Amino acid sequence: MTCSISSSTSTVQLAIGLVLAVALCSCAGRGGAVGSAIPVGASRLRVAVFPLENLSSGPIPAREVSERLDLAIAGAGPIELVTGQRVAEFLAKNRIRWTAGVDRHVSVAARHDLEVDAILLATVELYREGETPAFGVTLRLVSTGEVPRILWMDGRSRTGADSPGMLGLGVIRDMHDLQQDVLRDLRASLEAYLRSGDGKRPCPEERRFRPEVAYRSPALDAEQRYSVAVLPFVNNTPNSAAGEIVALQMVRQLHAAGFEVLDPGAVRSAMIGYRVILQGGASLDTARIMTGALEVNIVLTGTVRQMPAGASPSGAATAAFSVTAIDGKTNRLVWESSTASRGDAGVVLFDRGLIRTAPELVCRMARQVAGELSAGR
Amino acid sequence: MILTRFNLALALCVLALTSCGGRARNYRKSDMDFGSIQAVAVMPFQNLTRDNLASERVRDVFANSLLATEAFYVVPSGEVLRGVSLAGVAVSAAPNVDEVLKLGKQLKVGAVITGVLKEYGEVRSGTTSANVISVTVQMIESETGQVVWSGSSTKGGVSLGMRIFGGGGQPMNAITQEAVDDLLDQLFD
Repeated sequence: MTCSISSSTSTVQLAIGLVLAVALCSCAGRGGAVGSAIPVGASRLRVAVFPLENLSSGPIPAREVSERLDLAIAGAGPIELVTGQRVAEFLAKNRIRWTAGVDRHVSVAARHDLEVDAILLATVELYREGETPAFGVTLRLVSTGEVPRILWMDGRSRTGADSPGMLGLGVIRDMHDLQQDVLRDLRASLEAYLRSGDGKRPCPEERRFRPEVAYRSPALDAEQRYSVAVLPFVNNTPNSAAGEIVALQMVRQLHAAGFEVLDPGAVRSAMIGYRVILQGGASLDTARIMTGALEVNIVLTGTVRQMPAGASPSGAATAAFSVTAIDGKTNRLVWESSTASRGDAGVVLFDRGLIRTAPELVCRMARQVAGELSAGR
Repeated sequence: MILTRFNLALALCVLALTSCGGRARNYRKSDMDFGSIQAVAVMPFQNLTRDNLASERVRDVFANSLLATEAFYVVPSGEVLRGVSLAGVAVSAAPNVDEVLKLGKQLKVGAVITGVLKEYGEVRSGTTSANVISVTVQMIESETGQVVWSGSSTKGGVSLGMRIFGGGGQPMNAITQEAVDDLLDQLFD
């Protein structure tokens, strides 16, 4: 940015010159005037983009999706992306094979080697091509350094038939267009975070997806801010990724509800380090070990009973899962709930409110669980 | 049309025959003080159906619903499995008396709950199909190894209305919850 002032001694010329100077100085490209629109959360974020995780129960064109994602995120405000070969070299050098989470080792190495402020992790939960494509992705931004924290987390999951409009003119039949639609929303969400610093992005609250059965311990204090580690969910469905998708949605909704949630990478690292195997759920010993190792108040896990893979192009999604939370210090259950929902619950006219994708349905169900866990009934 | 006594009796018989769900049959030990039981453990249910995961699903719903009543503290399922392993229970769905006594000490529970899932899934009758569940549950006191309560519930199935008018019945999750609620009603009545 440059400023220049006319050397004329005339008052009028000086005034014009000043006006011109102010006009020329109001640059700095996207983001508005100089000195303003500096994001509250970060001034200019340097972000490493890790290879995406595929939980869609089928193959996906990962390179193509990654490139679209990089393009979308690069336009989200003052962000400098570190991608591609640089990240691949970093992963190889530090022997990082699992790129769906960030533990302390990865976080410190990324800060030191890549000199990045945060890592962007993408999880594709739904990918189906065809006449009615379906696409779903969850993104999260995790800070680097000694203590990796989830800064922002959001996700979208759609089918091409979600908003058909009049005469079906709104139906999206091209996967590329659908991906653009989803990524555009996520970019807007990330931009909003960079402006405001508020990374909480809950799913819409819909009471029709409340847990049918829930127990909340009176020992839980609604005012206290608990730290939570979400362990892998037991998967009792044929969909191999169901447990991970539900666990990820619980992380997102608990983060949005104000809990201090550890990144799944840190949890995984601790489970491997302490040789913790979950068979049929978390035992009290497991809860005690994980609470101590991760320095959290609560350990949360559960069981997924129903969650078909993919999306139903004309019908409703279905999902059923239970959630268990254990206080590691007292070794007592503090929360247990059971939810089974259909995406067409309460839908009466013209499919208004119909949820066709399982990740979107699970998100709303998890929102209800997190809300009741934090505030009580 | 004037209802004759015969027509009225016939109508009542038809109504009685078409009542689905089965009559609840339960057992409750008369001299048992259920208030003395603070904590219970719900064991994996025995699965007599074709769906390998059905018994785990029903057990999950039952344990959650029982805990939600706040009448007992229900030990987490992971802890139950750990207790089963440490106590050396051979068949977790059907522990013998000695194993129940060991489990009670290991898990610090006053009673152990076992169950048998007899039916779970779709049942067909002619051209109509519907979901059905049939489950039996027992509560065994962990100090004596005696059965102190037993209940059973069958929900869903093809009703007369479905045969005549069609319809697919309720989703599996809904009738599972109905059956569990019925069992809990039997337990607390």
